[in-house]
Amino acid sequence: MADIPADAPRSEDGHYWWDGAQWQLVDQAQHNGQQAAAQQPLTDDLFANMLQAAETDVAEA
Amino acid sequence: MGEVADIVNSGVAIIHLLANHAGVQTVQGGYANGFPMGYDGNGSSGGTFKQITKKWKQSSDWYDFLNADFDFTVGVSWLWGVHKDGNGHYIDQITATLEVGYLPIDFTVDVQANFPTHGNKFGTDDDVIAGMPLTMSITLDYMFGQAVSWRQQKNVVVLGDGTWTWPS
Repeated sequence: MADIPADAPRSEDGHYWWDGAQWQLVDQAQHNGQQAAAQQPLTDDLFANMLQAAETDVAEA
Repeated sequence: MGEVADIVNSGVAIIHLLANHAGVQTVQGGYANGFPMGYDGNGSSGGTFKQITKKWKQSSDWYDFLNADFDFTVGVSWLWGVHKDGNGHYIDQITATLEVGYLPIDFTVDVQANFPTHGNKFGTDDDVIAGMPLTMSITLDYMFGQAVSWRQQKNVVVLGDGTWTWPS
């Protein structure tokens, strides 16, 4: 099975990914690995990084 | 016109706003102002409102494990260019603002603006430009499996000529 691009869209249940033309079944082992990643705790540092990415410059309204 | 005394904040000292997915709550509201000592602003005229804003918007899956969109905007608004007897550039009705487009459940935004009792004088005694510094403290708390927190504090200055500084 081809490697799944990191930015490939996923189905809500996580069992499929979009290859640009059709949905492909996610390999079960890879799926399990991603479930493990999904259990990665959200830390203050990750939260800060997320907020920094979402922050915009000050602007006059 | 004679020498102008210190710029005094005779309004509120703290503005405190709190938001979650249900909306924005004003814990402590009101306005600060910045008139010279002994001058309450009566008889002043003119002025134009200005608002400066800083937005945080997350609208995609930034992490595989965190699908938490949010959209909120923190700001400061004030009336600038207020005149007294045709002189000066005073400020009034200075306040903090918080607008929420969307926040996930268990996500809170806490904004507190602290105003000093005295502002700064810019310009000349004959043509005073009032300036009011304030400290904006923005605290975000989120419960996503565990509690995480983030805080940013900035010293913002708004002036009577409509200019401002908000450090990045």
